[in-house]
Amino acid sequence: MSVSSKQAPAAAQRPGLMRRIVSTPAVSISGGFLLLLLLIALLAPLLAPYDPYAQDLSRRLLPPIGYPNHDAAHLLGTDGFGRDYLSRLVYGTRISLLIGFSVVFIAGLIGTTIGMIAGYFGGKVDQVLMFVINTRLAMPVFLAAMAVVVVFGASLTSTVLTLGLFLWDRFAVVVRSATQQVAAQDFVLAAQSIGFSNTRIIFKEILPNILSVVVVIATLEMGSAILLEAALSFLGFGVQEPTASWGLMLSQAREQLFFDAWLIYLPGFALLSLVLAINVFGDGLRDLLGARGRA
Amino acid sequence: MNATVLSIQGLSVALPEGADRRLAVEDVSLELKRGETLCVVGESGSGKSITAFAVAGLLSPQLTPVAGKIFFDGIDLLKTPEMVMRKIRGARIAMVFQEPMTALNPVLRCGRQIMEMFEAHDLHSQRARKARALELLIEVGLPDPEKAFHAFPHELSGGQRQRVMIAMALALEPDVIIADEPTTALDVTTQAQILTLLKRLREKHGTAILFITHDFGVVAEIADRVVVMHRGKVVESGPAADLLNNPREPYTKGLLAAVPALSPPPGVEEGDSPVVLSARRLSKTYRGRGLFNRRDVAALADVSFDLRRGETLGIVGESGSGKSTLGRCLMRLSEIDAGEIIVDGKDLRTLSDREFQPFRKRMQMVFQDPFASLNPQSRIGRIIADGPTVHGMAHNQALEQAAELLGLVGLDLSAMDRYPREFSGGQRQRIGIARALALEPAIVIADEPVSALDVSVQAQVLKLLRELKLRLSLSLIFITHDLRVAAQICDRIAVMQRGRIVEIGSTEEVFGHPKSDYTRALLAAVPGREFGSHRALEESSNPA
Repeated sequence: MSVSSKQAPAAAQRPGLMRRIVSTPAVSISGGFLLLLLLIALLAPLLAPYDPYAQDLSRRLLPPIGYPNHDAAHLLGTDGFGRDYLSRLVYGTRISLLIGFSVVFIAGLIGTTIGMIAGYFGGKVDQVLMFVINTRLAMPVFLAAMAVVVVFGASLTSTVLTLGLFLWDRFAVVVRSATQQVAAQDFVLAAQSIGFSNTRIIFKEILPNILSVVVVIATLEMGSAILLEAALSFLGFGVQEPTASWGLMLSQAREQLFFDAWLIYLPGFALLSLVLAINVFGDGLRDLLGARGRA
Repeated sequence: MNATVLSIQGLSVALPEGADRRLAVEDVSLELKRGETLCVVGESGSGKSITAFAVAGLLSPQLTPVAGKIFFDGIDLLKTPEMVMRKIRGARIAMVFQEPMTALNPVLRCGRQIMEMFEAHDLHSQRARKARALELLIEVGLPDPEKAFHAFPHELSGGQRQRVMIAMALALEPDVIIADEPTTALDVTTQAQILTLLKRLREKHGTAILFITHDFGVVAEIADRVVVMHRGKVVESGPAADLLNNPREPYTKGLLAAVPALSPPPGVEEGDSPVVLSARRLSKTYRGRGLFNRRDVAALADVSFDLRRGETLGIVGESGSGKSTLGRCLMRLSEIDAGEIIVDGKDLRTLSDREFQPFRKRMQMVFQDPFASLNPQSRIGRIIADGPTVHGMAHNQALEQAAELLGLVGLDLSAMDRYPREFSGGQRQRIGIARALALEPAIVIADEPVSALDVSVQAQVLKLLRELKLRLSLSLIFITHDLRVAAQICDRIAVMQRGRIVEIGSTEEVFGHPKSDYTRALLAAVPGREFGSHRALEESSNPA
């Protein structure tokens, strides 16, 4: 008697994740935009028309195309030091994405580890780790980050490390509860009864089942990391001159706010569209991965 | 008396695109007469619940009725606007759901929820509502109606909650009650009480009951007429006695043959083979840890038994009897407080984790829920082969062995590279059994291994377990709440109640001449006692 001909019906035709991304407009558009920004960041030296650090004080504060007396050689004008604004925006993409990815990598590593350990072992371990998580939640990220940067000096590296060491809380909280759910299932019990070590159970049985959750939080956290960098740089506690960072560009444009508003619009719009795209992408991804269910 | 109150004519309901078939319910016709109980029986996916929900106008938006009529009181419910349906629902057609815990609002007191029925239909004054609610709670036989009135759902037991649900359904004296598996989540003794209650209320009020169930025992107990459904179609219908005793359609015959009989098959000889596991005075208490919950619950109290080589020992009992805790404690998945578990002359409790590791190979477990017991992200081959690999077998050899095991449990070799979601419940349970056997255990502990399966699949899995036991001379500890299943597969049976073994003996003895009152009560509560097939496990005919 063969039973294998009887297939579980619902599972038979589930299109792959890529297919579903393509067929969901919100996800494919935001994902496509992010891919484009990633390419811009990678190919910045080829795409930027000028050296983003080259100053030309004779051509200061040229307006972008469309304004009266703009200069066709500088499509988006120049800043207060006569540096090409388009080139600086292009290079700024690098900083934002670098910050986004590396902060999320560090925070995700810390948060996921803490969350999985707390969720899997429970009991005393959970209590101690929850205390750590609560302590972290009680700290105002922005003020604490400023204090750290003041002590250790402001630079790209210190910004990445500081934000990475602060933004793991959401990973930890969400991963912890996801782990608790997965760990309560019988297949984890089965793994224990076979005699698997805890490490093996955590990495081979549980991690693959919570990975989709981690990916979704990662996208959302990436957005807030990028915004925090911009805010820190704006206040002078983040990335330092002359590096091209969108937050720094906003900061320098402050004095010209009433005279040359485009200096604010352009990096502001870049920041908005990047973070919006990341959030829409993360949101859509959550729906797509969630629909896949815990099968 | 014999007037038709509800009539479904040629009902078809479409499934959303991409489902396994186009119509969930196809050309279903049935009639419900005043004061009768009509049971709609079928396995999962037969469309029985969808038919019931269509009547109440509660189909989920993805499901659309595409043909047919549902006549109630001279109007077609499918064409009735939602405004009018709301008046009918609750007042004239009431529903009782499967899971009373989720069907009741957890933050409202039970009495209040009954009163809401009147509020929704603008009936009675506030005071009369209260009086009527209390009356209803008395009528459904709650032991302390006054207390139940003020209780939150979680403060009541499952059976009491179901009584509250029934009181709500009765509140407006409906013509029709639709009961969707109302006793499936309940223990067997509670189920018997609820069935008696429904019978009594039907006689008293003349309410017609449309009773959805998968359990032929329940059908035998309560039905006047029966409709058998399979893959969305009505296979057979007729008066209960006729249909159960002389089914005409092969599908019905197959289903009925798969229902195990309550009495054990004759000729089970008492073996004298060596003892492989011996439990001595096991006890475990769950302590209430919270500030307000300091009640201790004895999950195991003084539990002792021997398991012999090649025998199947059944552990039966209702929920909360400690039977699952016993299984877990034997596997050392949770710790016992006191007692000895002796395997190969060693007390397992005194062993360190490292010393215990080799014993894990000797004892393996099969779990209840075929959907939760396999890692959804692992391929079947890995699921089966990982155990032996961890215990030192070369990976290639473990994979070869996994392939052999798949054959042994009746699955195709192609299963190796597929994921659990591609398999049905019965197939997954076979995979779970293969995983347990991969370590070549001497003892297999099966915790409700067939409870989540349809009756025909259940018979196949039981048959497989029994064949494997004989072939590999395994000792099996079979934990179940289902006395029919226990009667067919177990050599000896231990009956548990509140953490204690109240009776242990050969299956014939326990079923034929029960010594304890509790066992007698359990046996008496099994619905449709005389009904069932001895050949259930021999019959390999598969109606599905």
